[in-house]
Amino acid sequence: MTPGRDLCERVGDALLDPAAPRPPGLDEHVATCEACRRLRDAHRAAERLVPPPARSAPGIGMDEVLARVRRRRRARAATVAAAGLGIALALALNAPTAPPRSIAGADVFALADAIRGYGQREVASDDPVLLAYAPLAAWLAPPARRSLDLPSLPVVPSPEIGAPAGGDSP
Amino acid sequence: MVITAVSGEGEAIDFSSLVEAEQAGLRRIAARLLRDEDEARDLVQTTFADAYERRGSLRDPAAARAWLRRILTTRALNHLRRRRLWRRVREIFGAGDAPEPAAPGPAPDALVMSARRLAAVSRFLDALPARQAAAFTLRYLEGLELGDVALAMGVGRGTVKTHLHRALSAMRGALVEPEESP
Repeated sequence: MTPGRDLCERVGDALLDPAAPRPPGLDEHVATCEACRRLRDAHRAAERLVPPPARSAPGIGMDEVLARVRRRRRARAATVAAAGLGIALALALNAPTAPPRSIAGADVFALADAIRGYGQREVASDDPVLLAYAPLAAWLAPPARRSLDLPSLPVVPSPEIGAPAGGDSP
Repeated sequence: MVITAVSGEGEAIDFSSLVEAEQAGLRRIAARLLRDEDEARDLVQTTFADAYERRGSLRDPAAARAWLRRILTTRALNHLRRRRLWRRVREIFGAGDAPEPAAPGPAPDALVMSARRLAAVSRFLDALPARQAAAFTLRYLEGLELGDVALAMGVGRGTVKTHLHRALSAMRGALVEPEESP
């Protein structure tokens, strides 16, 4: 930094800040330095600016301040709630779709039994009134569906009525 | 209504008295920074609301005035920046210049700036960056000491001098009126 520039900075400091040290030869420098003279003139002109007094207006009461605080808190709460809702919605929309529910084996067997029971009715066999129409009933009955009689279906042997307990033991 | 708040040091502050005691000074500063009385009133109300919500950050109740000035100046700077941005936007979209803010009241005595000069000062401050305008206003129009300007702006004394130096450099010619030239 050149000595002249350094002096200009110190003069500027002294002009703007009454607490700053006043460099020796300030007045002589200002008289010869165009930049410092302009700064001094601008500073003096600014100091002479006296703005008009502010218009008198109704005072601000504490109740107005507290009302504003309450409005802010409500607005913040609403913002947080909206943000939370938005996040929840975004998470819900972006959640991975649930895999198709696996059908338990027991459900399949129950379904198969129901279909078989519906499709293999023997309409007239147990009804004495309709016994005479048995051939017709047999003809009208839906065809027997054996396709659902899967070999893998567990068949629980029903115990023979009157059969001795213990199976084939003599 | 008496509202007692507790400062960060656990000392009780009569907040309603603080509002009553400081609002005139704050409104004057706000009016000079924003050059609009209605906006100034709103700014002061916002400042008190900020202060009430942040009352725990006030360490020393004796420094409440400087603390309030700082909150107000920070808010005012943001307001000035936003105002400038919107003015730019309006200019870009061809809506023309924003209307000049209303001059704060009639001049009661001869020392006070003439309406013409007031308008010139307003234009000059509008053209300055917000921080320079705030430093200039607080120092020359509000008459605060350099240290108080630094406190209000939350910057160092040297930074204020830099802002003032730049503002004064920009002022050359903008505010020099024939009445001042010999």
